[in-house]
Amino acid sequence: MKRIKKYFYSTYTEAASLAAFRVIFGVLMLWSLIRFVSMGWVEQFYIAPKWHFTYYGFSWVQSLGVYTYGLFAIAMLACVAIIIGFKYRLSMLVFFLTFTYIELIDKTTYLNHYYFISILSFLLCFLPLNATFSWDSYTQNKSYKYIPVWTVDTIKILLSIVYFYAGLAKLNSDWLLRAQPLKIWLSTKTHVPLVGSFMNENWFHYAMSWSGALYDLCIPFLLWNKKTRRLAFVAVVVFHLFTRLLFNIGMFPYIMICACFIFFESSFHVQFLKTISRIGKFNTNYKVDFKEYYHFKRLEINLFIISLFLFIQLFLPFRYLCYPGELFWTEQGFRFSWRVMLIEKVGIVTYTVKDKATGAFFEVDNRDFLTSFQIKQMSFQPDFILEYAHMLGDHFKSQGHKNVQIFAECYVALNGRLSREFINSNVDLYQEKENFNNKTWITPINYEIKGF
Amino acid sequence: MKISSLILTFSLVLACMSCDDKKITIATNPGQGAQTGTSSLKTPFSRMGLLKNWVNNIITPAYLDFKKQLTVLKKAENNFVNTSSEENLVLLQKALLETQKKWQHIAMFEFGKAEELKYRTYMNSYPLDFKTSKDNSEEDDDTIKTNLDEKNLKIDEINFKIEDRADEQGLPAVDYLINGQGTSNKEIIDFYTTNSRSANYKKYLTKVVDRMVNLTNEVVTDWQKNADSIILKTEASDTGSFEKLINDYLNYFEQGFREAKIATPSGKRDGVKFIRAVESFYSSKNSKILFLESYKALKNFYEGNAYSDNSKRGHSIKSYLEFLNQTVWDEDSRRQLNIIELVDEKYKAIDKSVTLLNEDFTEQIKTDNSKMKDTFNALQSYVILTKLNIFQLLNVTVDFVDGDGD
Repeated sequence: MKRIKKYFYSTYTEAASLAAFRVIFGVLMLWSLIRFVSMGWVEQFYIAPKWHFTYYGFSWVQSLGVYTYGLFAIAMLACVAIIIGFKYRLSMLVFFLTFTYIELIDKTTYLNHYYFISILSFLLCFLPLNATFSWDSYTQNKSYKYIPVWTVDTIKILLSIVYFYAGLAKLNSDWLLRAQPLKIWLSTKTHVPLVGSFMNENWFHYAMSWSGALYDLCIPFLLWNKKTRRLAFVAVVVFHLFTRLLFNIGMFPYIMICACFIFFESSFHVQFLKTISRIGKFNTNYKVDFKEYYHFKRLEINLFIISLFLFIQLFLPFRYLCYPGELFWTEQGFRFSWRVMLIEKVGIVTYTVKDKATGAFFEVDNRDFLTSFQIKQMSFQPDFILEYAHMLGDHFKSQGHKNVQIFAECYVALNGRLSREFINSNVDLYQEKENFNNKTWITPINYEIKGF
Repeated sequence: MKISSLILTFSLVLACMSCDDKKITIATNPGQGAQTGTSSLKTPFSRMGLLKNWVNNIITPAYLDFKKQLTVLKKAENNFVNTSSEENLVLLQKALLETQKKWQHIAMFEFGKAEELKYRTYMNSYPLDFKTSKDNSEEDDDTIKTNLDEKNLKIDEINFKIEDRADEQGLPAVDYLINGQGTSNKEIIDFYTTNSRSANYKKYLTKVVDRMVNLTNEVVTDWQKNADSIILKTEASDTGSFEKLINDYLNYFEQGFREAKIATPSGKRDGVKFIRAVESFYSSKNSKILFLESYKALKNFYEGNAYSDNSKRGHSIKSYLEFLNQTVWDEDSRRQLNIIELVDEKYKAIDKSVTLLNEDFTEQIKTDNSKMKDTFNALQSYVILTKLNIFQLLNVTVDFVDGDGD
């Protein structure tokens, strides 16, 4: 008890650690947002689609149309403010809200690393990343040298959860015993320099699968341990750049590499800030009231919120245990669980709109309503399939169709298995409601993928 | 400091290795080297070898042959317009069928200029437009009939470049003009001789054929100009030629083949028969011939058979699958299934259902539509296998989605 108290109340580390993290985070986010806009994805993903797939409970989050660009602009401004440490808490809050809003508009674009950024920015709202080396400390005339060590540790814990859970999720029979889906993804990459000649080799698929799982499981501990840290960081860099080379995963590798800087000794962060000051020719000798230790005004509330947050993070990935059936097939409890690169899944789905009274029917051309990206994502995820059925039902009802029933004929292939029926085609999906209950209209499969 | 230099070196190394090793394996006898499957490093399968085969042995020859065939059609049309005799009509009808058959071999390639000009749409949109849509001011009110009437518009002034007019031109329009004007050739000839609007018929026929010739010249010229650079785009991404062409192939299988030739006329999608939507409706005795020709083209593309000689096989989807040596796991039988055998099974099922079809699809739909639906199901079964399992094994994305993954 005493030790815990001591840890929270009187164990300190350099404030530079958080300040350095702030600068890196801000720069990376700004870069990500600029990249996103310049790829034309704002238009493609948020403006062009007629309909959007929303998260359960967040259907009120709507696309702002062309004003979505405004959201991006605000988020970018927040990034700039974060980098210089201007009104830090407000800026971080604004970034968290705008970024999360954008992500909530359409779950078609869901990526684990977007979710990671959302929750990380939430966490950062509570931490004093502006204690030193910031516009705030300059204008408020106070700069701290030390901050409580637990603030840095929370970031490390979150990163460790991401890695460890990603590793845990790989401990399944498809990944370890069938080397799927890596076998599928790697086999065609024979044109890649240096390692291309191994890409179609069986042993290579297994080697990659096993080492990938091992990497994810061990890396948090190796980074945390001072002795192994340097070696671990080299592994981080090599691993992420390698995945960047092989897969189309955007900013994720860079974000992870840079985020892992937080594991370094604080002297490294002090040096980092000094280097920036030197390059930018900042005058760090401005007259401020230097203080030694940063103190939280409402420590208990902050600690409570952060503990609750981390607690949720620890248990949310296990919510799939509440559902019967195969997780990879039904995807009930799949998102927000660091299940990265685990499944190669494609589907094909044909909707029929039927008049219950007359039996008259017609099939829907999905391209009339959805973008090709949305069609692709919708075709193998049950919650998309249901939501789309309702959008179709509502649409045709408003067009004057009576007694509307919506049926879906759907086939899905998972991790190199022969495709099979995914949705019970006799169930009128228009009558089914989205909720947290088990979706009984998903056609069950007769096999089990063992493991987490 | 050490670490940052390490990162730098690593990224530099990566940057230097940007272009891929373009090993060229020309598949003179792809049965070997490809069939063994596992990557024997001595004879690597290459995407470039595959693209070479597709471009040099399939697409370019098919384009050139079609272009040549159009000059035959143009000549026959010219003769018929000058001398509207029964002999010339028969020659023109024959030339049209030949053109329609050769068309089936290039219809699937929506690449470059063909895509830009909506080549397939303007060449072969059927059924023809007989609907006036006076309620909708956005759409043109002309049908092919009113065009021929010349009441609304002078034929010279009809703008064929409007997409609303895609179904008033192309191969179906020629079919209508030279096969659809009566029950006998004598009656048809009357439209070009004694009919008060015979001048219109001639003019319109010429205009339609000229439009096809011009479009084709533009597309083929552009294709030849770019053929070499298309072969060089071997990368496995949305800019790669392989991804583009295999998507074209599947897209055509679904839209141009399954939908247009079988699903739409049989009313698979809404339960309403739509006989006028049979391809080549005014010479519907040829509808199965065209279907089979299209089927052959699709099969050739999958197997890599040369256009000029179907027995000459080169690298293609089939040998790529052989090279990857990937199997599909079937949970029902708990067995690894050979994907090539699965494909062959699907082809057999298609063959079986197709042999039961009448030469004339309009007859088939009228008398026993269920056989059309059986064919649809066999085709759909192939589509599902391709779109899901084959595309998965080849790591191809259906259509281009360029967002990030994770």
